[in-house]
Amino acid sequence: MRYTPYAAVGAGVLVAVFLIIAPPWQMPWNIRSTSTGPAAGEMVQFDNVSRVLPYSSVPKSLPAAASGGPSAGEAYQNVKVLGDVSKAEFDRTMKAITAWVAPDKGCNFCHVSSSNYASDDVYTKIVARQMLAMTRTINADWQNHVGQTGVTCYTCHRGQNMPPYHWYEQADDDSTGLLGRIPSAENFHYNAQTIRDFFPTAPDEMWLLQDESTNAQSMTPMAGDGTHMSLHDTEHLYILMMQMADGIGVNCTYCHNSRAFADWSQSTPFRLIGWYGMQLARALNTKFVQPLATVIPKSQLGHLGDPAKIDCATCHIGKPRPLDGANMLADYPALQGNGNASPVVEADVTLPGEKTFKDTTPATLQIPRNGPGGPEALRPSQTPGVNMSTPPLLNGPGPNAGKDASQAPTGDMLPTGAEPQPGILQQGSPRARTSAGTPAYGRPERTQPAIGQPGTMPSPSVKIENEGGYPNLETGTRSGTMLPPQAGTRRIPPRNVAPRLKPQPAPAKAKNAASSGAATDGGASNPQQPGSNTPDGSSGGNEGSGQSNGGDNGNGNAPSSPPATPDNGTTNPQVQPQAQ
Amino acid sequence: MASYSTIFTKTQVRGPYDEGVPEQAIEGGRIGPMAFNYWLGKIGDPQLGPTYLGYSGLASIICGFIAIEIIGLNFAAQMDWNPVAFVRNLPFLAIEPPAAKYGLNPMVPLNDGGWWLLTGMFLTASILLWWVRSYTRARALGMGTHTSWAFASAIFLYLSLGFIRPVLMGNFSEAPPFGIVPHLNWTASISVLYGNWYYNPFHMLSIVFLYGSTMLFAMHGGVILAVSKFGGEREAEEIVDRGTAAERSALFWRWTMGFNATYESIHRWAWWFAVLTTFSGAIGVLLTGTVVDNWYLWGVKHGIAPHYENTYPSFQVPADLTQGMVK
Repeated sequence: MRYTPYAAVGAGVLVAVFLIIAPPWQMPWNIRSTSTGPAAGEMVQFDNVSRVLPYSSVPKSLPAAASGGPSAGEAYQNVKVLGDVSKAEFDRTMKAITAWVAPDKGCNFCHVSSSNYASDDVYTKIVARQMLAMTRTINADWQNHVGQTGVTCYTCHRGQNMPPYHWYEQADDDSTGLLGRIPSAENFHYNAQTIRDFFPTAPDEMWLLQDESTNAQSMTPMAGDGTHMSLHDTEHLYILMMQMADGIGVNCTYCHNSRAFADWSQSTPFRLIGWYGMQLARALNTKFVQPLATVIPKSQLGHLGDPAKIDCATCHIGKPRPLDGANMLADYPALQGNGNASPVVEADVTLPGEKTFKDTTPATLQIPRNGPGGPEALRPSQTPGVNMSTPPLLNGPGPNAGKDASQAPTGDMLPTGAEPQPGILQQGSPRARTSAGTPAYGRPERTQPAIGQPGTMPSPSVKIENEGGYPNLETGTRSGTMLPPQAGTRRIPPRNVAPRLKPQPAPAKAKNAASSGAATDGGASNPQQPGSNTPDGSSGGNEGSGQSNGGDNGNGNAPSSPPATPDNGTTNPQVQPQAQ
Repeated sequence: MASYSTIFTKTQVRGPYDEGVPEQAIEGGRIGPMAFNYWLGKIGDPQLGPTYLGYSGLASIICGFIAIEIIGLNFAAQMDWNPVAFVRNLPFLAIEPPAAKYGLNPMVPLNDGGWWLLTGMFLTASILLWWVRSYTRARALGMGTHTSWAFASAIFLYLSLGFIRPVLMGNFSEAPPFGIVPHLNWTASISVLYGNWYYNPFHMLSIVFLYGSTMLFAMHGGVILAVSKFGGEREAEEIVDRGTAAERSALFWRWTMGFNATYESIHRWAWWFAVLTTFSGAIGVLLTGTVVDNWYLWGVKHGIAPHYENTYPSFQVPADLTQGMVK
């Protein structure tokens, strides 16, 4: 008995040593936190600077092909997607694809033999052709998500025949339990080998294949005034978001302000990029991947006969920008596409997810902020100049989408996960000063935009000065051969950038709208001139224009308390909805 | 050997087996005497027993056993009776409540929520019977029933989640499932669904009382242990020969922690903090979805959710996304 305490202490020490040595701890000094958003808003990202993710090496580009010469369509038979590429570039691209997708199997992974490359007898060639069309479609039409960086085969394949991260539809659990099966809301994959595969894929089916609503919360404070998602679907949405965050290696607060997940006006611009990503994944799964079920042999299909499909992790593999933003596409013009690519293998039925955007008016919120007349809380920003009666997003907004900063943030703006963001870190810091000497916190001066342009997003022509040492894009230093930094890639400017923009003289009418909009009905202020309102979203004039709820949208506290309006910093001049 | 301090009880009282005080109501049924145990003495009284098993205790244990059996057998059945899979996946297995389409109808197919209702019924019966036991035993010993009412506050929260709120909502679909990780997922999901429960003022109060309870517990326990060298922990001796432990600890409390705690008042503070933790939590549960649909917007409406300046570059959202789910 008298040695009991010594034995207890010894056992405790042994347990402590085991707990220190055995698990793969991440040392706290390797965890870097990056904060954005308002001071003390806890919009923090954590990442481990020392961790090297799998599949993170970037292959060297092949030497450039000789220019000129015949096109691949002339030189070869049965070239359906890359026919307009020069033969030399075509050959080079094929070599690169072989290294990216089938380094072990070589050309014969897709081609029957070295004598007859034109044959379509190997199913992988059909799949590869579909994937080439898909890649070119992404690069041409989905720059609102992939930006100028774009994607290549390697973005997903990383040297594997099958992209390492993919998902299948989930078969119903048909085991009979105690007097019948107990259905679980979380239909976990209990046989999963890793935690990643453990999560149910029902959420993927709901939102990356079908087109379910993602609106979970009621937009009204009191019960009975609005509706909300079922708790069951909310759990699915929650799991989808977990997979998304895991796939791109971020926290919730990368996109959302967790105090109000639904509120677009408090979200970071990354949320919209992520939303485009969901549309992208759904479009690719429905248009390009699902039709391959007839091509791919059964042994390669899921339990329900579906091909392996795409989610966020498929391309991102744990990084906010795949491969830390390495711009491999720039070296492979054959993959850049011209916007005309369409699936080689078409679906013979109308697949779910063919979403058409209805012409809608924004949500009417019942409750003003801070009592009657104040700006509303969950008022999201609106898109000026986008005709919402057409489906610009799923089909791609056209070749020029994303090139104009006034349209939307693009994937190019994503920071590399590895680089510090001093510009963002300095937000709210007294040291962050505008060129005019105004502290960056408080209400910054906003610039007056040209008609039809939103104000606070710097256009590409505006030089962003950055005393905070805003870093250039570096493509990572982890492992493998990395590409040199790419100059000129835009990223989200820190908050102190906006006031630097040189104010442009605004039309007199806009000034009137800005000054009087606070006191007048927003809808009446300027319904037909979307660009003439103040860029910082003097709330009533912008949000309310043309809206039925413009009146209660409240400009109420605008005149008396200007600082109360900056939530409309994300609000842009609104075009009259097309339906009207 | 020098005396040492451990987290265990320092002194063990050994004497003849103590039957305890007689009950005021003649009920009988004590089981004992039994033995002494050295290791039990490390965490408290080394004496085993006397125990008591009345009708309510027995019925409570049986009901609780049935509830646990339903849960465990269902979990095992979900894993096709594979013991390894059962152990591996135990944290993730669940019994889900009936879907909304069944409303409040208790006659639900067993594999579609019926097991949840049965489990809940037996578990509730077990808990309520244990409450009866706590009340009757306190009365039998001539005590007050403070413990029973504190327990009742916790039961009120439990019933609010699993029964009262579902009745108010008209179905059981939003009741928490049985399962370790699933009920945690439920917690996160329902908070997000109803617009962030951190803006629920009763949730706030519950947190205040919860953290306050732990702090009071630490303050009280620390002070009493600190005066144990003056016999401060030995309340029986204190009654006849107080010494100076109470005076010292009261003075220390006044100087460093509270204002005017006495040996009685500190226990009243602790009791109320504990009771209000679950009681205010239950009020918050009952208001969610029945009165308030979005706690964040409720907080905005009433000025408790401050507005922060937007610091991000402006961006545009397609109108389709802004639709929300407004009726």
